Amino acid sequence: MAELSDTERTLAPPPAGALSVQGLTISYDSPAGTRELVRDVSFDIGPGQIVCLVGESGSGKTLTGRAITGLVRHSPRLRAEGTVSFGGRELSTLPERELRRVRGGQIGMIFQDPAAALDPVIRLGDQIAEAIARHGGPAGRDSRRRRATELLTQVGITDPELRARQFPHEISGGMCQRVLIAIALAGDPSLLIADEPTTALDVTIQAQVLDLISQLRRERGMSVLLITHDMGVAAQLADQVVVMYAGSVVEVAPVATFFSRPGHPYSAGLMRAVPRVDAPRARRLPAIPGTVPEAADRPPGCPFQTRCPLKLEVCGSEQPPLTAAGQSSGPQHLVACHRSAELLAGGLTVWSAIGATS
Amino acid sequence: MDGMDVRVPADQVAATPEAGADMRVLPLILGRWGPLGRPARGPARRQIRQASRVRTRTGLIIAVAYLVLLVGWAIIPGVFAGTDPTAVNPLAALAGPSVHNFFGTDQYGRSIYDELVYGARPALEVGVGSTLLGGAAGSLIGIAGGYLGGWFDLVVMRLIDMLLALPGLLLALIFIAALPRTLSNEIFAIAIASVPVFARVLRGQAVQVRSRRFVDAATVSGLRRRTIVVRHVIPNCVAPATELATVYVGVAIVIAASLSFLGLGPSEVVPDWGTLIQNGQGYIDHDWWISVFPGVIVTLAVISLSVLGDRLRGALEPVRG
Repeated sequence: MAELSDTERTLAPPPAGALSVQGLTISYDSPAGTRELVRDVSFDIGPGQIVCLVGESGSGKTLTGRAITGLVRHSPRLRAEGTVSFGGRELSTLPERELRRVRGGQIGMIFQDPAAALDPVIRLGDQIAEAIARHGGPAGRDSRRRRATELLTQVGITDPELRARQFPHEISGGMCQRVLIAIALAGDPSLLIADEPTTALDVTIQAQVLDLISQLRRERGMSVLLITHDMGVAAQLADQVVVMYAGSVVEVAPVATFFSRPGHPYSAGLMRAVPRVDAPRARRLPAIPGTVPEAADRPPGCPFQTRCPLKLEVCGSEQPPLTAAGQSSGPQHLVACHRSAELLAGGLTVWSAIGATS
Repeated sequence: MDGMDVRVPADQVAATPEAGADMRVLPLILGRWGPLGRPARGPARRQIRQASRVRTRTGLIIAVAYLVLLVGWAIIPGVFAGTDPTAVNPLAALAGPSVHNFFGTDQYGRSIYDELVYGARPALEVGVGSTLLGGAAGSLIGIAGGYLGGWFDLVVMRLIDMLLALPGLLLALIFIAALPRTLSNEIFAIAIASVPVFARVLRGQAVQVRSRRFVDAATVSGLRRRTIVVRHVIPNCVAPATELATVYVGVAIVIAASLSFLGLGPSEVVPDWGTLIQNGQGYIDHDWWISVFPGVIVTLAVISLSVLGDRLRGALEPVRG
């Protein structure tokens, strides 16, 4: 890529669907003081890219997704700082009125537990029509209905006329997720935020929904932020992987690099913890011992030090910054670990053989 | 829905001979895995289902039939009773229940039955009217507080709590005491008494609905707050509001009767139910029918409305996927 001068950078029209999150910090005001649930998170999504945000429960993934669409503003006790720029616009300072136009219009969002994300008392077709009407869809009830039916067909729902007349409890969870995707597509967004879209679904339906997401990405050139804790999903779909731990980003890497040479001991641990069908059965499943520290009792220094087998003295005092790691050829590989250089050089075994640690 | 027909009070089940005789029903009554260790299967389970279903439905049918009768009294009293409920007949004064006068006569010889039939209209007008008025106002206040939150919720709900500390009857009494004794003023006073009740319940419902995922989903699809309230929050509050309204019609009837009993009811020629009860007060030791029958009519109305309200909620509650 050629270097752009500053003026060129501002003049060049920002590509649709490109998202840049810089220094996002989300804090919670409690009587016991302010707690940072998400700390200084930065990452970029290029146009048409699928970025997977991975990490354990409680690592701040979902909150990050909610902050991008401005949902965090609606929670009175949460405060978000930092910048979220999307298609060249700064979303974090955008007035609510304009942000509403971005929501659904340029950024679509789908949720974990799709059945709960649909209003139980409204027919599916009307829920889609509502979003169509909001985003300058065709006028008139009939043409909106027709558009809703089209969307249902696009997300692979058979017999869309019938489904449009049904209520959420009459269809399966997988179908609910498809309907939600149809609603998210109503405004023809250039970015889709999918918050654990397959967690509540069974495995075969999971695969179908993921296929649908990657197909829509291909056909519409849509960027996707996929929030998941499933490393398999990340391996299958992602272009770029962002790993979060205890509210901080600990590694950013292109998917191939990430799975072949993870630069953070936590990433390595996550991969090791994926149960494999073809591996010999161990007495215990490999896991990272311990749990994610609560926001209140996060240690100073590296957030992962309490569970890290490679801990040094420096880890207890200094939080490692997210820096370029490995040979800086090709796309950026960023790691926040004091020992990532040793790790990437291959001189260290992070996690000993299965069963031996426990 | 799930298990609703299985959780029956033990006395209801025992009342059905087939089910009561079968000890296998016990675990079902006590929960799926009762002390007997194994849930009833096959015939025992089916018996329970049938027994309870018939019983509960019977209750509902009786309740609805009674309410339909009251509505009939209110709309076309002439069909059910004589044309003049106020016709005085001193010769037949204080006659006990008989074929001529089902519920006996009062101290002026007026037929208690006729008076009850003609008293249905003001009773239902007050019950339904004040519930609709106060219910609508209270629900809006509650939903607004619950959905908007913040200082509005805080201030309004503290005021509501203050009102809630007073019993409904007392609240209605305060207002009726200051107003001319007319039916519409009585409706207004009881409506005000119902506002805090509806506001409290609907606020809770709105808070719960607001935190449901589909409200987030509607927000991220770019809908305005106004649209979200009208299209998503209010429709999801309909079930509890309907239940409360149905039950509250009965409460309002009781409050109206109590006001009349205290001599604060509307001054009408045809005595209403509360006035009838009060009329009989001095005769209660010998001529019990003057007070007791109106009391029974009012009590049955309250019970029927609460049975109906309960079932309505079950039927209206949205099915969650």
